[in-house]
Amino acid sequence: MQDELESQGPLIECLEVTKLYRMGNETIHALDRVSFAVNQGEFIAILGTSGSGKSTLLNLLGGLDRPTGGEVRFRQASLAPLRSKALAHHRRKNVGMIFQSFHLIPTMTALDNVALPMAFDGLPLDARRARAEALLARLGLGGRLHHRPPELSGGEQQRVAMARALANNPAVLLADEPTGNLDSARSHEILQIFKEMNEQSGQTLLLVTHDLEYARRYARRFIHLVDGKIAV
Amino acid sequence: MDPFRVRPGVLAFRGWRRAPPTAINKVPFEDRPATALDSYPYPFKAMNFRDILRLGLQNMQRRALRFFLTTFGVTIGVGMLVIMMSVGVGIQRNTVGRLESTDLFTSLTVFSDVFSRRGGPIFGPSRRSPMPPAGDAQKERPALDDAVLAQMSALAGVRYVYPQRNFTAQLKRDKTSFETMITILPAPIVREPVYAQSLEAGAFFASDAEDSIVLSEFVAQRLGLPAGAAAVGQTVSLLTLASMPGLSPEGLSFQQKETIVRVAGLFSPRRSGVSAGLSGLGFSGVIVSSGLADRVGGFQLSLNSLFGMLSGKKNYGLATVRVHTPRDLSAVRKEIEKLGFTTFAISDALGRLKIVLVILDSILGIIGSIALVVSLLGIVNTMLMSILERTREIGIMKAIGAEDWDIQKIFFLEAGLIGFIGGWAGVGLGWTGSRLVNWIVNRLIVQQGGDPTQVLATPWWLVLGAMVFSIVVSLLAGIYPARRAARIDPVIALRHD
Ligand SMILES: Nc1ncnc2c1ncn2[C@@H]1O[C@H](COP(=O)(O)OP(=O)(O)OP(=O)(O)O)[C@@H](O)[C@H]1O
Ligand SMILES: [Mg+2]
Repeated sequence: MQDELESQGPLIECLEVTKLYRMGNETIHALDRVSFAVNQGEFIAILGTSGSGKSTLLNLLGGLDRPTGGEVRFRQASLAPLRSKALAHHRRKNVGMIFQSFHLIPTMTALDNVALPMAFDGLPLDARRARAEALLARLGLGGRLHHRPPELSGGEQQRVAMARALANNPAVLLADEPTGNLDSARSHEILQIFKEMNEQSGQTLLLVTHDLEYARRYARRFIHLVDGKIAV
Repeated sequence: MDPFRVRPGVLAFRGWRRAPPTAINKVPFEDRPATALDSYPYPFKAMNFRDILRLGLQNMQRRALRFFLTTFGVTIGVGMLVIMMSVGVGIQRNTVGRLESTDLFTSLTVFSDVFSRRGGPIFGPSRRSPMPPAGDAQKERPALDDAVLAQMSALAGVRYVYPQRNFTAQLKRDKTSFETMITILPAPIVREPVYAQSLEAGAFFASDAEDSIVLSEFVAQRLGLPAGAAAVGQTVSLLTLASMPGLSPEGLSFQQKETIVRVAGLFSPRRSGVSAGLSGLGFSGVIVSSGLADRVGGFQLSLNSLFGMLSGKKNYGLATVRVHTPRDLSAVRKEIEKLGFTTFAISDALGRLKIVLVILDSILGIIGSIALVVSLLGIVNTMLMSILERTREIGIMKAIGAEDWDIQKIFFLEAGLIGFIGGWAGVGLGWTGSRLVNWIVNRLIVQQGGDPTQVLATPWWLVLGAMVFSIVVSLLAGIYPARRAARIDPVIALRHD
């Protein structure tokens, strides 16, 4: 089955993707004709200095934003014609996003945070709770189900966010500097989980990071962004 | 089952360019059976209402005080509206409504045009009555005599007709005597319920043959009669100025006549309320039968009766026509006007009163609505604040897959809940408030010796209307904030913390 899926070509393709921001008279090329493909099961690190367009790229892949030029394809279908409803569907079914500052909803328990994407997908409460519990347990948070984010450590919060990203079984995880707010021990812990997920379950992963050392150690492929362009 | 198991993604949208590989549909998704959800073209599965409600309630709980205050604002607004409208309904019921429930709308006063070229002397002419053509002064006016009255009572829908007659006489008992106006009512007419209603003691005269009289409490008191039932059966003398028989145009001669009459009953115009006026009880303190009036030669010193005497033609001048139901009134009225008489119905005057009440109702409604509008601005304000506070949260929800419409629904529901809860509480407040006002006012009325009335009225349609109105309007208040929430750009919302 894996072969069958791989024979369908890349999971994600970027074709000449450009993103412009206009600041007064100035035009900022956050992304400048970026092209690459991500295959099923890859673990890719996106590297680049601050302001090089890493987050912008991830937002485009995740369907949070639309490119100014070029095309993002998911399973060979362009995201461009999707209307907001279908794009929301893409976000909740196909991708799971993880952020540097976790972006958990502070008033909800860990369990409810993880269950939320499934609520948007119309899954009944019991099924949501069961899956959220399984995911949190798997990430070592079985004892923290009813804690709210402020009551959790940074590493724990990021693991809750990972569980949430995985809630709807996405085809790809997009992590934007997930270890940026964590100490090195916590960072290694998180990245180790990513690596296991990639190696054991074939989870496709795109990891944005500053840190070349982390990238080398965990990822299998690198994309270097310099001023919105892919550096060779 | 491995929660990390990877599910290949699929894009769902209209016009998908190629059929997704069948393998996708066969990959088991452990949390749900392989349903249409994962097969193409699968419908978008939306968030269900219960989850939206849950999220909305959670948010309200989180900002309980703010939502309570906003809801309380709506409560006050709706309560104000209900009380204001209740005042309006109460006034309407205590004026026009009370009049309408009486016999007033079945009554018609008929004038003979002998009185005046311009119509009736008291109330003014009916606008519908035909104006006499100019230069028509010589033309005979039809006289309002017994033949015409009989003709009128034969009309379809007419219950009874009687002439409005009165005369002035002196009442005497022991050393007390005073002059008073005496109303003449035919004996068959006083059997109508409105007369019985106004009786305090005794009864009306049963026939025209009786030499009996009915007095108002006030007149009885003035005559020094004992109060209540003890007055019934007492006698008083009636001093009248009777015209001599053999009256001729050359001269009229009169003589004084004293008749001893029995007090048959006491009435109080207050008891039959407003209909007393039209039943003939309102203006007079003494009532006699037409038989007795003829016997004592009750003579009304008026041009009308003088003309009548001189011409030898009887003309009552005024008559009351009562129809069975208010619906009969206009047809009967037309028939009577065709006979050449002018008519007046209380509804003519009431039309203007109704307009005044509509204006009053509108003013009260506007005052109440202002309170509601203020509270709705409160809803908009609360929702906008809530959105501002929750911008990041909305961004998060969108990033993890919420549709714009989901966000819109969550906020819309919150506004609706405020309206719903506030509306119910407001209706409760308004209802309780008007009962309280009624209770207080009635205590005062009873202390003053009056009869309790419903000052504020809150009918069921007002309760229901206020409920529906507050929900609809708060949903309207929710539209703008909800749309604004739905339009939040997740990228901007999530950029900086
Ligand atoms: N909404 C916006 N308006 C204007 N400029 C923007 C906007 N969003 C991003 N940019 C610019 O686009 C460029 C790329 O931004 P981006 O956030 O992708 O960088 P990054 O690589 O993620 O940086 P960091 O490592 O600091 O997160 C930056 O120069 C940024 O200033
Ligand atoms: Mg960034």
